[in-house]
Amino acid sequence: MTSALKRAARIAFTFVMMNYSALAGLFALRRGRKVWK
Amino acid sequence: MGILFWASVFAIVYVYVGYPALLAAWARLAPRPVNKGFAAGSWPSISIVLAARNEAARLPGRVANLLNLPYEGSREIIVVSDGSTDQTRAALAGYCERGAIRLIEVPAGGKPLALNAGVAAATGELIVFADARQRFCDRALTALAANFADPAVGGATGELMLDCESGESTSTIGDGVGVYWKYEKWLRRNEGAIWSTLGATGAIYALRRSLWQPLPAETLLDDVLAPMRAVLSGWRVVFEEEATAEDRTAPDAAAEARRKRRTLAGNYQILAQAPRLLVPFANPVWLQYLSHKVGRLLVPWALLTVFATSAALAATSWTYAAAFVAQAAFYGLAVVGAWLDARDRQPDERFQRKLPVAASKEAR
Repeated sequence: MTSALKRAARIAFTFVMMNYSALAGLFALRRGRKVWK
Repeated sequence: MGILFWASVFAIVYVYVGYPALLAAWARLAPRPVNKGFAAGSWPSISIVLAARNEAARLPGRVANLLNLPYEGSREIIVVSDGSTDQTRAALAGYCERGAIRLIEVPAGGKPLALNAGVAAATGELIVFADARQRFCDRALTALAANFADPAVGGATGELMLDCESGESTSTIGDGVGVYWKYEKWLRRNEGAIWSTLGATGAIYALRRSLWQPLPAETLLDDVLAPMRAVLSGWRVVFEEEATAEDRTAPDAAAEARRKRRTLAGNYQILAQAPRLLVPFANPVWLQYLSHKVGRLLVPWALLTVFATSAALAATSWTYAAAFVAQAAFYGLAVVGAWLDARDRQPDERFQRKLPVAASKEAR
């Protein structure tokens, strides 16, 4: 695998992970603040 | 269903391309420069407030960094220990004995309450917020404070420099985070140039003490709520790129995901804490807030909608079929990225320690 492809794959993964985190964050917030302490 | 598809595509493209283009044009056509700098002898006094829990190992070096920064005005350093159970008091005893810092110990209640205690004890005209892990550059205090010569400025945020930006990170997601963080800072720089940023970087920002209002205990994004309260009152919060703090990138996707989850949950929470943010004439940066912060919360839903609708409509048109194939390829690439992350992941003791709420939430 070329380094450019690897870089593209890592960036795509980070993008998906960050967007998934927005959804996960919403559901985590609904569980209350103990999640964060 | 076609309308849903195109509306979602529009939302994604607007958030990531349209809004930045609008912002770039706005900043070019109608910038509002900040009048910086004080006359000799008139620099405002500052209180540096650092909230930490169980950071005994880092605090002596961090305090030394803060004490050694050049600054013409007077400064005080207040370290708030948020229920620390390590050797925080002993680690800072030397600094306390010679009056270099004040250590305030409070029961573990989270970063917001620790910050409330620190600011309540502060006497400076400006409060500079700092975290234990980062280091400030030499010009940080002077560069931040200089913005407050402008009577419209209520806050100034510094620039967090991540090691992945310079290619020095060993993080498995350094490529992605580096691209994202440069993009995010570009937005903040331009938002500050036209009026105000939409928050601050918790690791390095300053606020007029008179603008501080105690934070609710459950606050997740103290560095967004406190500055945005000032913005809602008509003040500017500006981006100061000469004030930098250095930090490391999260070592892997799992660590970054935890941080992002907390940050994005905080973005939802803040809408409940300050609903005026969503009211056009009550929020001077309403369009920017909607486009940047609320847009980021909507994009995941839009991505899901685009994927589902293009799959459902793929048989009806080449356009939908092509859109579906392109997304499938992109998500396939992301799966490869996930595999690379898992393959390259290395345990890092420094990050494996559970970070308290008092730790930085950057990079957002």
